[in-house]
Amino acid sequence: MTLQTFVALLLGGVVTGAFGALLGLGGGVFLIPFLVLVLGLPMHQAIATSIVAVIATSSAGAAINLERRTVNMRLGMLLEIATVLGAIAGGVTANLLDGGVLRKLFSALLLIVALFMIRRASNKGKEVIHHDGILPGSFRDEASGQDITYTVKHIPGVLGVSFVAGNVSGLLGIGGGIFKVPAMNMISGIPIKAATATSNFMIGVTAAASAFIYFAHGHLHPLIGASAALGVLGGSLLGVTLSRKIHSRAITWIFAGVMLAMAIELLLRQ
Amino acid sequence: MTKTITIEHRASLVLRAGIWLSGILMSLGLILALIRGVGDAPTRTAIADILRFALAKPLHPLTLIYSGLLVLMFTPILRVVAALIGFAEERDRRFVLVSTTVLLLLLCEVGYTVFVK
Repeated sequence: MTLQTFVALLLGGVVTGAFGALLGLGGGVFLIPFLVLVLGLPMHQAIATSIVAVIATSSAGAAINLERRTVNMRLGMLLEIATVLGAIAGGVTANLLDGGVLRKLFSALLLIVALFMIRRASNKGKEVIHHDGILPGSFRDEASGQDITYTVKHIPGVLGVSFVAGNVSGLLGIGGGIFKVPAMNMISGIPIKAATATSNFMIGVTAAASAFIYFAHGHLHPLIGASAALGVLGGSLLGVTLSRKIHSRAITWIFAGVMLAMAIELLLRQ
Repeated sequence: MTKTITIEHRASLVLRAGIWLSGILMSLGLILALIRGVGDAPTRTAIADILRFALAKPLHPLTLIYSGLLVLMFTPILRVVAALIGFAEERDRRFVLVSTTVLLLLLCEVGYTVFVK
């Protein structure tokens, strides 16, 4: 690996990690298009690199959220059974598929993620919290200064979504929080902050499950994986700091447009 | 007075330790790789071959990078172990079972990729 490639990977990782954190996503959604479209990496290698970066950012974020007690650990552990099974199935399937097929699937995923983001930015509704479910959780909302308590309802529904999210994670190298967080909030009535923290907590284990499959198939180039992981980790920490100063709703529309453009470019690339 | 460690605190410590250790190993390995190069060492290979290479050349830049990557990949698994110990201490049998299930799934998968593939 040349110094130029190392610098490109590190900077690319920082930028994609920061963008991801600004939007409350992992770095994978932007990192994979960067690796494929800018650096010309094969799709399997890009996914393997992204998976490693996802473990790094998830672990760093989860360590902080655990201390703040925004993670519902029991719920996370329960849902991990579904996400791990999904991720193993996704990782095995991805290694049976052609890179071109994966590229088209990733284009479709980008379109779905862009739509989810637009929907989230447009949603001004009040959160619905249940107090008659199971696995109670509580945390202090720093923004409002209030202690929030909640319980979890409709576990089977959110287990099903977690399996799909784990599957997409293993198949396409993203964290899968974009699917889990709305499901945990809408199906189970978990406050968005707790849902986001719990989803992030689960992503490390989900990504680790498929990372070993990609590693075993020789898709993880050590120099590329390490450079990108360090870059994305730094970028996501930067993004978290910036997100406190930048209004995310305003930039969501811009990034949704960028995702649509990347989806079309990936779809058209031979 | 004894200070009790919560499950959350224990899991957080494991994650922090894993991130720092892997970050240091990968950074050192990358710096050495840029200075010394990696020669004709294997850069895309299976885990069993990597372990053999690491044992033969423990201070090679790629050994440090692979070690960092593997520490990073094992960090979430060790976090599951930390949770399992915490639930066992709290005598929460249901979540000992849940954590054990997650751990077994992960270990079976890692075992398969390391020893069978």
